[in-house]
Amino acid sequence: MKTMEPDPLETLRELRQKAPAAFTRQVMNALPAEPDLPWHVSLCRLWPEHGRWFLPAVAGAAAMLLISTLLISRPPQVNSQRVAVHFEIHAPEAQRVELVGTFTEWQTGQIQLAGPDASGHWTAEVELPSGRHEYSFLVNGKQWVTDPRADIRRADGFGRENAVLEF
Amino acid sequence: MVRTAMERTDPELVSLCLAGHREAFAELVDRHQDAVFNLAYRMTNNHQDAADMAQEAFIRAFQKLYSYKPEYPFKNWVLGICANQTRNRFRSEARRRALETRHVQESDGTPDTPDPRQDLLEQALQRLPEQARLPLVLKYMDGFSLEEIARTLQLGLSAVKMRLARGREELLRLVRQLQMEGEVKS
Repeated sequence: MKTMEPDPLETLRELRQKAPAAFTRQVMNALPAEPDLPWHVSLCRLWPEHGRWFLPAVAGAAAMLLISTLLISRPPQVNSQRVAVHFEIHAPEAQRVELVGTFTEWQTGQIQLAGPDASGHWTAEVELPSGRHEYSFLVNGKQWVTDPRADIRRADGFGRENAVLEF
Repeated sequence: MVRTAMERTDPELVSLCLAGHREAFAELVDRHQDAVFNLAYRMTNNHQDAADMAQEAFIRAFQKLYSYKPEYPFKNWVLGICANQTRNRFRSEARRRALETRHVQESDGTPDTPDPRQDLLEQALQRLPEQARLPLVLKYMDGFSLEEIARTLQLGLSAVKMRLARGREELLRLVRQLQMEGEVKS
């Protein structure tokens, strides 16, 4: 009987590295005297403690009110337009072809292409929201194929490329 | 009753630091040094560079302490600083040293870890592209959720999912490949 091998990913935790001895002391020796002051704290320190603060305070409040009014009166435009996109790949020998991308959150098994037709093409019509999408075809569940007709491609960092669609 | 530093929460220790008790930061370093050092090691594949990089991350965290938001775990915040703000400075030197280390290890022929399966995994992890390695480290070594990984590495959720999926696939492929190479050699 074959023994079950543990999933290597589940044993990754055992490879955790520990910080060297005396690391905390080294960090504490290298620390600056105090944290950097953010701009608003520095600004507060400039504020006159017993001076005439009323006019600048009113002017500041008025400016804030004006900016808030402008922002509220111009709500952000939401572009929710959806566009039907035609995907096609020539793979006459394939048993099945899937479309996987940012719009499926890179999960497989969601969009199957229909085919092959008489000329060996697989196709799918997918409605996508406007914006930028990256995708790839998965042939027979194991071979990633970049859309040969894609105008824009982007390296995925694993030696392959994703096709990029932007509209 | 006096509470010790160990009983204080991370946000309480940050508040103490901001109130001028600089020594409270030592407790924060103590608590999170292994996680930060481990991430730095996974970025450099070299102990000396990882120590420098982790130290730099804590110094940057101390300098930026006013911008820390208590509702966000301190560990995630400092790991984010380590992953995103000190990488370029250490990268070229780290690569050179990692290559030297690998060369020495290969010529020596002795693995770092006594367990051959763990040694295979370590080698596979080091060969993995960094953009896949870091999400795997945060998920499987630090137990981060997808959202936490996305926030720490300043990535979109979709990109994290893709990198994890392809990283897993690539890591398993590398382990199998290294196993086969080992069998051929023996």
